[in-house]
Amino acid sequence: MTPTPDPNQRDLELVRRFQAGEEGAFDQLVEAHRREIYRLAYRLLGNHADADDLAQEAFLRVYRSLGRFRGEASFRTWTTRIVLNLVTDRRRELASHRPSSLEDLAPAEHPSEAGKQDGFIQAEILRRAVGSLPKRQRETLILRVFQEMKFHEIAAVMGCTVGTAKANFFHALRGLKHRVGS
Amino acid sequence: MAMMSTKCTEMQRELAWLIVEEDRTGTPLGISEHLLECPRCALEAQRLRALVGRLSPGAVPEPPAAYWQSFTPRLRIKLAAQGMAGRARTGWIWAMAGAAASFLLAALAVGRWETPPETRARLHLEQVAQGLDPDSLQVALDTLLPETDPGVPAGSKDETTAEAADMAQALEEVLPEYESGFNGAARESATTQEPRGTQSPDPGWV
Repeated sequence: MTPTPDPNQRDLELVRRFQAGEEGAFDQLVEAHRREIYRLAYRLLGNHADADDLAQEAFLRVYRSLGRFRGEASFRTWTTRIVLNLVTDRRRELASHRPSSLEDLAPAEHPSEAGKQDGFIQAEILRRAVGSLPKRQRETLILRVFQEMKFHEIAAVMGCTVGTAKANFFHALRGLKHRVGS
Repeated sequence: MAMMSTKCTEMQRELAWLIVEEDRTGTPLGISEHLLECPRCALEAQRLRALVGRLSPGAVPEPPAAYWQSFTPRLRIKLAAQGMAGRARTGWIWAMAGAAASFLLAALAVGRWETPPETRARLHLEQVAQGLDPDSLQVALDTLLPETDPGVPAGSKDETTAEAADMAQALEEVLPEYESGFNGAARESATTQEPRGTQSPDPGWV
């Protein structure tokens, strides 16, 4: 049985091939990461249209910068950082055009349908509560719970220590508990 | 309810490790024991764990297969629109430019190796002028002034000289009063020393 290749090594190899001029290597990177990028964008923005737009923009940025990627961080960490930066820009842009609460920035796709079931209501409450967390706590929570990143990976993405990432996660949970009730 | 101790505060900061159960080896020593003996912290850990459990099932709706099939082609269109697509083509252009530069260099090198004799002679002369290689003078002269001029057929020098003398005589007949300083002096000198017909030819002139 062939051992599963390490995703980080696979990504690095694809990056090297792209840097050597193999255009198709970029498509393979997109293929490997598009779902994760899209889901992260969806978690952070709350709807398909914005998530799709942001995922595409993220890969455009990846393409532009891939020639300079040296592999100090993993490709996954790097792309996650790009998505978080884009989301921050998007939120700032939205806030300047339409002052609103954080909860309103990520409306549910089908709130009327979601209201039909308690589970959806609970999910909506949680989603809004996550959206109302301070930025770094929200990002840390999403990366850990939804993207299943390890704390050391989150620390690399956020540019902080593992201890800070861990503290952000804990405070995010505390804040969430306070918002939705225990 | 018991007051929260300093130890509880410290332990709850570390609960993150325990809640997500990421790495048991990273769990600070004593936290498990503390949770066993402190109902307050144990309850907090239980609530937070339940909260994470409630968060996790909130899956992102999966877009249809058609969405994923169109994802990369749409990205390619945007790349092309922004003038970024076809890095490989750009690389090909650079490769062509490199090949052209190599060809030019090769052509220059070949040209240098097959320098015409006149050019080589001029190079020798330049070296002589710069005082770098006096011996090159002879080489240059031999090249520039071969013993037999290929442009003039052998034996035609006398004919050319005769034609020139005839032309000079004809000019004197047509323009007897014309005298330049040099020609007049020369003619005067010749007439005072010897009659024209008896003048001996200068052996070094030809």
